[in-house]
Amino acid sequence: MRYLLVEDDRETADYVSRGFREHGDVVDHAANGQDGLMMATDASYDALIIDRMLPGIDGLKLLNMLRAGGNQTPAIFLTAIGGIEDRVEGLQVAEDYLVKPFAFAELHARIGVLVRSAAPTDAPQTTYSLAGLCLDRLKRTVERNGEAISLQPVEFRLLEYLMRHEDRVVTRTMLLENVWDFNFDPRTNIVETHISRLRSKIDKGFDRPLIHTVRGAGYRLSDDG
Amino acid sequence: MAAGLFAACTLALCILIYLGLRDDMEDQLRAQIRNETSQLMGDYNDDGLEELRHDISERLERHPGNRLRYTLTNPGGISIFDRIELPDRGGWSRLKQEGASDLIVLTTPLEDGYRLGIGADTRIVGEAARALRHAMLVVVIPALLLSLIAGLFVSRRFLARVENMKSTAEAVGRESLSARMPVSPSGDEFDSLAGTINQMLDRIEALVRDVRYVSASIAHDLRTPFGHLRQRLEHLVDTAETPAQRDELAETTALLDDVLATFAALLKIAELESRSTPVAAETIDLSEIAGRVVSTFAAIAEAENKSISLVNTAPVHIEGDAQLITQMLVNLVENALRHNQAGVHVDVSVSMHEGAARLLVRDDGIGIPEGELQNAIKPFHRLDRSRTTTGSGLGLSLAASIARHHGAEPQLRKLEPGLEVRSLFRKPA
Repeated sequence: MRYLLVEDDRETADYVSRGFREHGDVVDHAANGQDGLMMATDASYDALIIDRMLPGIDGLKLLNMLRAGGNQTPAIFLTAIGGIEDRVEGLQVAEDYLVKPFAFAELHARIGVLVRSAAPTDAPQTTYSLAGLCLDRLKRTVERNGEAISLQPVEFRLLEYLMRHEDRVVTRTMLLENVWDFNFDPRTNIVETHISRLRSKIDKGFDRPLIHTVRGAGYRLSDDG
Repeated sequence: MAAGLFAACTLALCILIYLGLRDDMEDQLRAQIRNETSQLMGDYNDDGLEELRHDISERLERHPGNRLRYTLTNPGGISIFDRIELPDRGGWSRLKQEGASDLIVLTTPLEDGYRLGIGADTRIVGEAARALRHAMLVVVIPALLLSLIAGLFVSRRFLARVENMKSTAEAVGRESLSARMPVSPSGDEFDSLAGTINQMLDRIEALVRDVRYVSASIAHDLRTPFGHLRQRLEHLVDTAETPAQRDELAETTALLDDVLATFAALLKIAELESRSTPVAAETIDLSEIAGRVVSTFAAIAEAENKSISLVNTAPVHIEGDAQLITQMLVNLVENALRHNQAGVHVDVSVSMHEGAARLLVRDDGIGIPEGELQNAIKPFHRLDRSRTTTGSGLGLSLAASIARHHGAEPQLRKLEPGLEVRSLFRKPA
C-alpha cells in the first residue's frame, strides 16, 4: 500500500513512516500543506494521513481543496485538538479521525479498514461466513457448523463488525465507535467483557478458535489459528 | 399602572383641596360673625338694648351692599331689621333661604326674652366652590387625562426597552456571547446602563475566548510532547530484550494513557463549560440511549455480581448531542457500579415529569454523606471512600458538565441506602 503522510512534526512523521515500513507499506511524507496538496494531486495513494494543524494550508482546508477537485482518496485526520466541534467538523470531510497521541497499531488498524472499505467489493453483505460460522444480517441468526447460537443484540453487532472486517485487526476504540457508537473512552472494560462473552458462545467447544487477541493492538477474526 | 396611580392621587388631592377650601371660607365667615357679635354685645352690656338697636341701624346705613345680616327679636317673636327667623335657643344655626344660598346665623339670647341674631350669606362660599369645581373640570381633568396618556406612552416605551434588554440577556445566557444590548442615540439612563452591560459582555466574551484559546494551546503544546513520549515508549516495548522488560514498559505506556485520559476529560469539561451554544442539537431519544447503555453494562455488572436495570422504555425525546448524553449516562452508570460493592443494584429510569424529561440513576449502595453531595459533582473532588477505588474523580463532574450544557442541573440525593442522581431536561419547544 502507498500512503501520503502530511505532518509537520518530524518525530511523529518518523514514527508513523517507520511503523508502516515495518508492515511493508510505502509512505511519502510532506511537511507542510502546500507540499501535501501538490503530492496528493500528483500521485494516486491508497489513503491520506493528514495532520489538522499544518503550517501554510491547514489540514482541513487541504482536504476540502482535494475533495473539491474530485479526489476521493480515503483520508484520516490526525489532530492534537480533539475538541467536540473539531471532531464533527473533521468527520464531514475525512473518513476517520484520530486524536494525538495515538498508538501506531491504532492508526494501522484504522487505515487497513479505511482502504478496504474504499474498495467497491466491500459493500455490506447480507450474510457472512467463515470456517463454518455463519451470520445472517437480515434473519439476525448466527450458527456454527449448523448449530444455532443465540446472541444478545450487542454481541450480534460485535460479531457482525468482526466478520465484516475478517482477517483485519480491529482495535478497542474502533469497536467502541462502531459497535457501541461511543466516541469516548469509558473506564470500564466494555470491549474485553463482551469479547469474552462472545468467545464463550462461538468458540467454546470448538477446536479452532476464530476470535484472536492481537497483543497491543486489538482483535482479529480469522481462520488461521 | 404607575400613570393610573398618579392620576388617582392627583384627583384625590384636588378633592381634598376643594373640601378644605370650602370649610376654610365658612370658618372665616363664622369668625367675622363671632367678632361682630362680641362687639355688639359689648355695647349692649354697657348701655342696654336701646344702644344695641342704635348700633345696628348705624351699621345697616354704613354698608348698604355686601354686609352681615342683623336681626333683633322681641319676646313676642316680632323681628326687626333683616327679619330672620331665629331658632329658640342660642348658638350656631344654618338656615335655608328660598331661592338663595344658605345663611349661617349666630343667635345670642339677651335679657327679658330678646334675641340677637347675626348672620352671613354663604353665597360667596358657594361661588368660590363652583369656580373651583369649574377650574378642575376644565383644567385638572384634561391635564390628568393627558398625563395618563403620556404616562402610558412613556411606561410602554420603558417596558419595551426593559423587555429588549431582558431578551438580549437571555440570548447571551442561552445562545451566543456575542449578543449586545441595543443602545439608542438619545444617550439616556437606559443607554448608559446598556453601555455598561455591553462592556461587561465584551469582557466575558474575551475571557471565554481566552479560555478556549488556552485550552487549545495546552492541548496542542502538551499533546505533542506526550505523543513523542508515547511513541518512544512504544518503540521500547517493541525492541525490549526480555518479556519482563516488555511488560514493565507496556504498563508504563498504560499509565501514560491514563494521564492522557484524565487530560482529555479535563479539556472536555473546559470546552463544555466555556461554550454557550450546544454542540450539536438534534432530537434524540433518551430512553433509547439509556437502553443501549444499560444493556452494555448488564454483562459487566453481572460479571462483578452486581445488577443494572432500565425502569421504563417509552420514548422520551430531548434536544441534545447523542454522544455527550451517552457519555453522561455511561459515566453515571460507571460511577454507580464502580464505587459500590458486589450485590449493588443500579436503576436507570427515563420518564416525563412535569413537562421535563427526567433521567434518574439510582443505586442502593454506600451512598455519599449528606454534606458531601454538592462537592461530589465538582471537578477533581474525590470522596474518602473512592480513594481506594480507581478513577480520576472526573466522571461525575464531566456528567454534570454535560447535563448543565443541556440545560439540566443535576441533583444528587441521598437514599436509604444509596444515591440518586436526577437530571431534568426541558422538553424541546
